[in-house]
Amino acid sequence: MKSENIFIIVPTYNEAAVIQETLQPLIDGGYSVVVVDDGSTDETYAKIKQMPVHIIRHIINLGQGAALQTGMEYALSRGADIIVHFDADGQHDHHNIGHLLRPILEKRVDVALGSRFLNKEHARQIPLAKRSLLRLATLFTILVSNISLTDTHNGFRAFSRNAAEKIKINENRMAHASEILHQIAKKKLSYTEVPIQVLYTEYAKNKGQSISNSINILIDFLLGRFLR
Amino acid sequence: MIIIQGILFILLLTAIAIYFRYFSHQIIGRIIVLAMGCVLFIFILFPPTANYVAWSLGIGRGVDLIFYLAHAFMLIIVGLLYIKLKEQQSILTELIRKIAIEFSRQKTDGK
Repeated sequence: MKSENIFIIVPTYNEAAVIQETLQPLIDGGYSVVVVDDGSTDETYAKIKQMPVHIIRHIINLGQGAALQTGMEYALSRGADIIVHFDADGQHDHHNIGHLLRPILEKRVDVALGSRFLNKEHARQIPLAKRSLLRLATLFTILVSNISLTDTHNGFRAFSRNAAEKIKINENRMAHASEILHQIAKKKLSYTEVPIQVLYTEYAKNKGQSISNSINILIDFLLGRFLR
Repeated sequence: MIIIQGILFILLLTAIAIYFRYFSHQIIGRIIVLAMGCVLFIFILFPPTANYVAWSLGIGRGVDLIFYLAHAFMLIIVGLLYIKLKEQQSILTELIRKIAIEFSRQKTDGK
Protein backbone atom coordinates (compact mmCIF):
# COMPACT_ATOMS: atom_id res chain seq x y z
CA MET A 1 0.00 0.00 0.00
CA LYS A 2 1.30 3.44 -0.91
CA SER A 3 1.96 5.66 2.10
CA GLU A 4 0.08 8.54 0.43
CA ASN A 5 -3.07 6.43 0.73
CA ILE A 6 -2.59 6.53 4.48
CA PHE A 7 -4.23 9.72 5.70
CA ILE A 8 -3.30 11.23 9.05
CA ILE A 9 -6.06 13.50 10.39
CA VAL A 10 -4.79 16.22 12.72
CA PRO A 11 -7.59 18.32 14.24
CA THR A 12 -6.19 21.57 15.54
CA TYR A 13 -7.41 24.56 17.52
CA ASN A 14 -5.02 27.32 18.59
CA GLU A 15 -1.90 25.15 18.45
CA ALA A 16 0.39 27.68 16.74
CA ALA A 17 3.15 27.03 19.28
CA VAL A 18 3.63 23.36 18.34
CA ILE A 19 1.77 22.65 15.09
CA GLN A 20 4.74 22.76 12.69
CA GLU A 21 6.79 20.59 15.04
CA THR A 22 3.92 18.07 15.16
CA LEU A 23 3.33 17.99 11.40
CA GLN A 24 6.90 17.82 10.09
CA PRO A 25 7.62 14.15 11.02
CA LEU A 26 4.27 13.13 9.50
CA ILE A 27 5.14 14.87 6.23
CA ASP A 28 8.62 13.30 6.30
CA GLY A 29 6.97 9.91 6.75
CA GLY A 30 5.33 10.35 3.33
CA TYR A 31 1.78 10.21 4.68
CA SER A 32 -1.07 12.33 3.38
CA VAL A 33 -1.59 14.78 6.21
CA VAL A 34 -4.99 16.43 6.61
CA VAL A 35 -5.04 19.31 9.08
CA VAL A 36 -8.49 20.43 10.15
CA ASP A 37 -8.20 23.92 11.59
CA ASP A 38 -11.21 24.15 13.86
CA GLY A 39 -11.63 27.93 13.75
CA SER A 40 -8.32 28.84 15.38
CA THR A 41 -7.94 32.46 16.42
CA ASP A 42 -4.15 32.44 16.75
CA GLU A 43 -1.43 31.96 14.12
CA THR A 44 -2.21 28.26 13.54
CA TYR A 45 -3.70 28.73 10.07
CA ALA A 46 -0.83 30.94 8.90
CA LYS A 47 1.65 28.31 10.08
CA ILE A 48 -0.01 25.29 8.45
CA LYS A 49 -0.42 27.20 5.18
CA GLN A 50 3.37 27.07 4.81
CA MET A 51 3.40 23.27 4.91
CA PRO A 52 2.63 20.65 2.21
CA VAL A 53 -0.54 19.34 3.86
CA HIS A 54 -4.24 19.22 3.02
CA ILE A 55 -5.88 22.07 4.91
CA ILE A 56 -9.55 22.19 5.83
CA ARG A 57 -10.77 25.15 7.80
CA HIS A 58 -13.95 25.36 9.88
CA ILE A 59 -15.11 28.96 9.84
CA ILE A 60 -16.17 28.65 13.47
CA ASN A 61 -14.98 26.40 16.28
CA LEU A 62 -17.09 23.23 16.43
CA GLY A 63 -15.01 20.90 18.57
CA GLN A 64 -12.55 18.04 18.12
CA GLY A 65 -15.20 15.45 17.28
CA ALA A 66 -16.58 17.58 14.45
CA ALA A 67 -13.07 18.29 13.15
CA LEU A 68 -12.22 14.57 13.07
CA GLN A 69 -15.43 13.77 11.18
CA THR A 70 -14.67 16.53 8.65
CA GLY A 71 -11.17 15.15 8.18
CA MET A 72 -12.48 11.61 7.75
CA GLU A 73 -15.05 12.62 5.13
CA TYR A 74 -12.39 14.54 3.24
CA ALA A 75 -9.87 11.68 3.42
CA LEU A 76 -12.44 9.16 2.20
CA SER A 77 -13.32 11.41 -0.71
CA ARG A 78 -9.59 11.49 -1.58
CA GLY A 79 -9.33 7.70 -1.70
CA ALA A 80 -7.85 6.99 1.74
CA ASP A 81 -7.20 3.30 2.48
CA ILE A 82 -6.33 3.87 6.12
CA ILE A 83 -7.15 6.85 8.34
CA VAL A 84 -5.22 7.69 11.52
CA HIS A 85 -6.29 10.18 14.20
CA PHE A 86 -3.37 12.14 15.58
CA ASP A 87 -3.37 14.93 18.19
CA ALA A 88 -1.94 18.33 17.25
CA ASP A 89 -0.52 19.17 20.67
CA GLY A 90 2.53 16.93 20.37
CA GLN A 91 1.26 14.26 22.77
CA HIS A 92 1.41 11.49 20.19
CA ASP A 93 4.68 9.95 19.07
CA HIS A 94 4.87 9.56 15.28
CA HIS A 95 7.08 6.48 15.75
CA ASN A 96 3.97 4.66 16.99
CA ILE A 97 2.03 5.14 13.75
CA GLY A 98 3.65 2.03 12.24
CA HIS A 99 2.50 -0.06 15.23
CA LEU A 100 -1.07 1.15 14.78
CA LEU A 101 -1.02 0.49 11.04
CA ARG A 102 0.36 -3.03 11.20
CA PRO A 103 -2.78 -4.95 12.30
CA ILE A 104 -4.82 -3.13 9.64
CA LEU A 105 -2.26 -3.63 6.88
CA GLU A 106 -2.17 -7.32 7.78
CA LYS A 107 -5.99 -7.26 7.50
CA ARG A 108 -6.40 -8.69 10.99
CA VAL A 109 -8.74 -5.94 12.23
CA ASP A 110 -10.78 -2.93 11.08
CA VAL A 111 -9.70 -0.62 13.89
CA ALA A 112 -6.46 -0.29 15.89
CA LEU A 113 -6.76 1.66 19.14
CA GLY A 114 -3.79 3.08 20.98
CA SER A 115 -3.40 2.19 24.65
CA ARG A 116 -1.22 3.81 27.28
CA PHE A 117 -1.72 0.93 29.69
CA LEU A 118 -0.45 -2.08 27.74
CA ASN A 119 3.14 -1.13 28.43
CA LYS A 120 3.68 -0.85 32.20
CA GLU A 121 6.60 1.53 31.75
CA HIS A 122 4.43 3.91 29.68
CA ALA A 123 1.53 3.61 32.14
CA ARG A 124 3.73 4.72 35.04
CA GLN A 125 4.51 7.97 33.20
CA ILE A 126 0.83 9.01 33.28
CA PRO A 127 0.12 11.50 36.11
CA LEU A 128 -1.72 9.75 38.96
CA ALA A 129 -4.92 11.85 38.81
CA LYS A 130 -5.14 11.31 35.05
CA ARG A 131 -4.52 7.58 35.45
CA SER A 132 -7.35 7.24 38.00
CA LEU A 133 -9.71 9.20 35.79
CA LEU A 134 -8.87 7.04 32.78
CA ARG A 135 -9.51 3.89 34.82
CA LEU A 136 -12.95 5.24 35.75
CA ALA A 137 -13.65 6.07 32.10
CA THR A 138 -12.70 2.52 31.14
CA LEU A 139 -15.14 1.10 33.66
CA PHE A 140 -17.86 3.43 32.39
CA THR A 141 -17.27 2.38 28.77
CA ILE A 142 -17.44 -1.30 29.66
CA LEU A 143 -20.79 -0.68 31.37
CA VAL A 144 -22.35 1.58 28.73
CA SER A 145 -20.92 0.35 25.44
CA ASN A 146 -20.08 -3.25 26.29
CA ILE A 147 -16.57 -2.94 24.87
CA SER A 148 -13.65 -3.99 27.01
CA LEU A 149 -10.46 -1.98 26.59
CA THR A 150 -7.55 -0.91 28.76
CA ASP A 151 -7.58 2.73 27.55
CA THR A 152 -10.91 4.07 26.37
CA HIS A 153 -10.01 7.72 25.89
CA ASN A 154 -6.98 7.55 23.73
CA GLY A 155 -7.16 9.79 20.66
CA PHE A 156 -4.49 7.83 18.77
CA ARG A 157 -6.37 5.34 16.56
CA ALA A 158 -6.37 3.96 13.04
CA PHE A 159 -9.26 2.82 10.85
CA SER A 160 -9.43 0.77 7.69
CA ARG A 161 -11.43 2.38 4.89
CA ASN A 162 -14.28 -0.04 5.62
CA ALA A 163 -14.41 1.05 9.29
CA ALA A 164 -14.07 4.76 8.49
CA GLU A 165 -17.04 4.55 6.12
CA LYS A 166 -19.19 3.00 8.84
CA ILE A 167 -18.30 5.40 11.65
CA LYS A 168 -20.05 8.75 11.82
CA ILE A 169 -19.05 11.03 14.68
CA ASN A 170 -22.06 13.04 15.86
CA GLU A 171 -20.60 14.30 19.14
CA ASN A 172 -18.90 17.55 18.16
CA ARG A 173 -16.92 17.97 21.34
CA MET A 174 -14.89 15.62 23.51
CA ALA A 175 -17.60 12.97 23.99
CA HIS A 176 -16.66 11.67 20.53
CA ALA A 177 -14.09 9.30 22.08
CA SER A 178 -16.84 7.34 23.86
CA GLU A 179 -19.07 7.60 20.81
CA ILE A 180 -16.45 6.06 18.50
CA LEU A 181 -16.07 3.07 20.83
CA HIS A 182 -19.82 2.72 21.07
CA GLN A 183 -20.09 2.66 17.27
CA ILE A 184 -17.26 0.13 16.95
CA ALA A 185 -19.20 -2.19 19.26
CA LYS A 186 -22.58 -1.49 17.67
CA LYS A 187 -21.35 -1.97 14.09
CA LYS A 188 -19.43 -5.07 15.11
CA LEU A 189 -16.12 -3.82 13.75
CA SER A 190 -13.10 -5.92 14.66
CA TYR A 191 -10.54 -4.08 16.79
CA THR A 192 -7.35 -4.49 18.71
CA GLU A 193 -5.36 -2.41 21.16
CA VAL A 194 -1.78 -1.42 20.40
CA PRO A 195 0.68 -0.15 23.01
CA ILE A 196 1.57 3.48 22.37
CA GLN A 197 3.25 6.19 24.37
CA VAL A 198 1.67 9.53 25.19
CA LEU A 199 4.13 12.34 25.84
CA TYR A 200 2.99 14.49 28.75
CA THR A 201 4.83 17.70 27.93
CA GLU A 202 4.07 20.82 29.99
CA TYR A 203 2.30 22.27 26.95
CA ALA A 204 0.12 19.18 26.48
CA LYS A 205 -0.71 19.03 30.21
CA ASN A 206 -1.88 22.64 30.18
CA LYS A 207 -4.12 21.98 27.21
CA GLY A 208 -5.46 18.64 28.50
CA GLN A 209 -8.89 17.84 29.90
CA SER A 210 -9.67 18.85 33.48
CA ILE A 211 -11.61 16.57 35.82
CA SER A 212 -14.62 18.93 35.74
CA ASN A 213 -14.61 18.78 31.96
CA SER A 214 -14.64 14.98 32.16
CA ILE A 215 -18.00 15.24 33.90
CA ASN A 216 -19.27 17.40 31.04
CA ILE A 217 -18.04 14.81 28.54
CA LEU A 218 -19.90 12.09 30.43
CA ILE A 219 -23.14 14.11 30.46
CA ASP A 220 -22.81 14.98 26.76
CA PHE A 221 -22.29 11.33 25.83
CA LEU A 222 -25.24 10.09 27.88
CA LEU A 223 -27.58 12.84 26.63
CA GLY A 224 -26.41 12.21 23.09
CA ARG A 225 -27.16 8.52 23.41
CA PHE A 226 -30.57 8.73 24.98
CA LEU A 227 -31.97 11.99 23.57
CA ARG A 228 -30.86 11.80 19.97
CA MET B 1 -61.96 36.29 40.82
CA ILE B 2 -63.43 37.03 37.39
CA ILE B 3 -60.53 39.38 36.56
CA ILE B 4 -57.80 36.84 37.40
CA GLN B 5 -59.68 34.19 35.47
CA GLY B 6 -59.80 36.53 32.48
CA ILE B 7 -56.06 37.27 32.69
CA LEU B 8 -55.15 33.58 32.98
CA PHE B 9 -57.50 32.77 30.12
CA ILE B 10 -55.83 35.34 27.84
CA LEU B 11 -52.31 34.23 28.88
CA LEU B 12 -53.08 30.60 28.16
CA LEU B 13 -54.65 31.44 24.82
CA THR B 14 -51.59 33.53 23.88
CA ALA B 15 -49.19 30.74 24.91
CA ILE B 16 -51.06 28.19 22.79
CA ALA B 17 -51.19 30.57 19.83
CA ILE B 18 -47.41 31.21 20.08
CA TYR B 19 -46.73 27.49 20.28
CA PHE B 20 -48.84 26.78 17.20
CA ARG B 21 -47.39 29.68 15.25
CA TYR B 22 -43.69 29.35 16.02
CA PHE B 23 -42.75 26.07 17.70
CA SER B 24 -44.15 22.86 16.35
CA HIS B 25 -45.75 21.80 13.12
CA GLN B 26 -45.92 18.18 14.20
CA ILE B 27 -49.43 16.90 14.73
CA ILE B 28 -48.56 14.93 17.90
CA GLY B 29 -47.10 18.03 19.60
CA ARG B 30 -50.14 20.09 18.66
CA ILE B 31 -52.54 17.46 20.02
CA ILE B 32 -50.64 17.27 23.35
CA VAL B 33 -50.57 21.07 23.75
CA LEU B 34 -54.24 21.34 22.81
CA ALA B 35 -55.19 18.62 25.33
CA MET B 36 -53.17 20.30 28.10
CA GLY B 37 -54.70 23.66 27.16
CA CYS B 38 -58.21 22.22 27.50
CA VAL B 39 -57.41 20.81 30.96
CA LEU B 40 -56.00 24.17 32.09
CA PHE B 41 -59.04 26.03 30.68
CA ILE B 42 -61.28 23.81 32.77
CA PHE B 43 -59.14 24.42 35.89
CA ILE B 44 -59.29 28.20 35.28
CA LEU B 45 -63.01 28.35 34.62
CA PHE B 46 -64.01 25.79 37.28
CA PRO B 47 -61.36 25.96 40.07
CA PRO B 48 -62.95 23.24 42.26
CA THR B 49 -62.30 20.75 39.44
CA ALA B 50 -58.54 20.87 40.20
CA ASN B 51 -59.28 20.04 43.85
CA TYR B 52 -61.54 17.19 42.85
CA VAL B 53 -58.97 15.68 40.43
CA ALA B 54 -56.17 16.12 43.01
CA TRP B 55 -58.23 14.46 45.68
CA SER B 56 -59.09 11.57 43.32
CA LEU B 57 -55.37 11.06 42.62
CA GLY B 58 -54.53 11.18 46.33
CA ILE B 59 -52.48 14.39 46.00
CA GLY B 60 -54.57 16.58 48.28
CA ARG B 61 -54.95 20.14 47.04
CA GLY B 62 -55.61 21.29 43.48
CA VAL B 63 -52.77 23.77 43.70
CA ASP B 64 -50.33 20.91 44.46
CA LEU B 65 -51.58 19.03 41.41
CA ILE B 66 -50.98 22.07 39.19
CA PHE B 67 -47.54 22.56 40.78
CA TYR B 68 -46.49 18.97 39.99
CA LEU B 69 -47.94 19.12 36.48
CA ALA B 70 -46.11 22.40 35.81
CA HIS B 71 -42.80 20.82 36.84
CA ALA B 72 -43.35 17.78 34.68
CA PHE B 73 -44.35 19.99 31.77
CA MET B 74 -41.27 22.21 32.20
CA LEU B 75 -38.98 19.17 32.22
CA ILE B 76 -40.55 17.90 29.01
CA ILE B 77 -40.14 21.33 27.42
CA VAL B 78 -36.45 21.45 28.43
CA GLY B 79 -35.92 17.99 26.93
CA LEU B 80 -37.66 18.96 23.69
CA LEU B 81 -35.67 22.18 23.47
CA TYR B 82 -32.44 20.21 24.00
CA ILE B 83 -33.33 17.89 21.12
CA LYS B 84 -34.25 20.86 18.94
CA LEU B 85 -30.96 22.57 19.81
CA LYS B 86 -29.02 19.41 18.95
CA GLU B 87 -30.81 19.21 15.60
CA GLN B 88 -29.90 22.82 14.82
CA GLN B 89 -26.30 22.22 15.91
CA SER B 90 -26.14 19.18 13.66
CA ILE B 91 -27.41 21.18 10.66
CA LEU B 92 -24.91 23.95 11.38
CA THR B 93 -22.08 21.42 11.68
CA GLU B 94 -22.99 19.81 8.34
CA LEU B 95 -23.13 23.21 6.69
CA ILE B 96 -19.73 24.31 8.02
CA ARG B 97 -18.26 20.90 7.09
CA LYS B 98 -19.57 21.06 3.52
CA ILE B 99 -18.22 24.60 3.06
CA ALA B 100 -14.84 23.64 4.55
CA ILE B 101 -14.41 20.50 2.42
CA GLU B 102 -15.63 22.18 -0.77
CA PHE B 103 -13.34 25.16 -0.25
CA SER B 104 -10.36 22.91 0.45
CA ARG B 105 -11.11 20.77 -2.61
CA GLN B 106 -11.31 23.83 -4.86
CA LYS B 107 -7.97 25.06 -3.56
CA THR B 108 -6.28 21.66 -3.92
CA ASP B 109 -7.67 21.04 -7.40
CA GLY B 110 -6.92 24.63 -8.41
CA LYS B 111 -10.50 25.36 -9.52
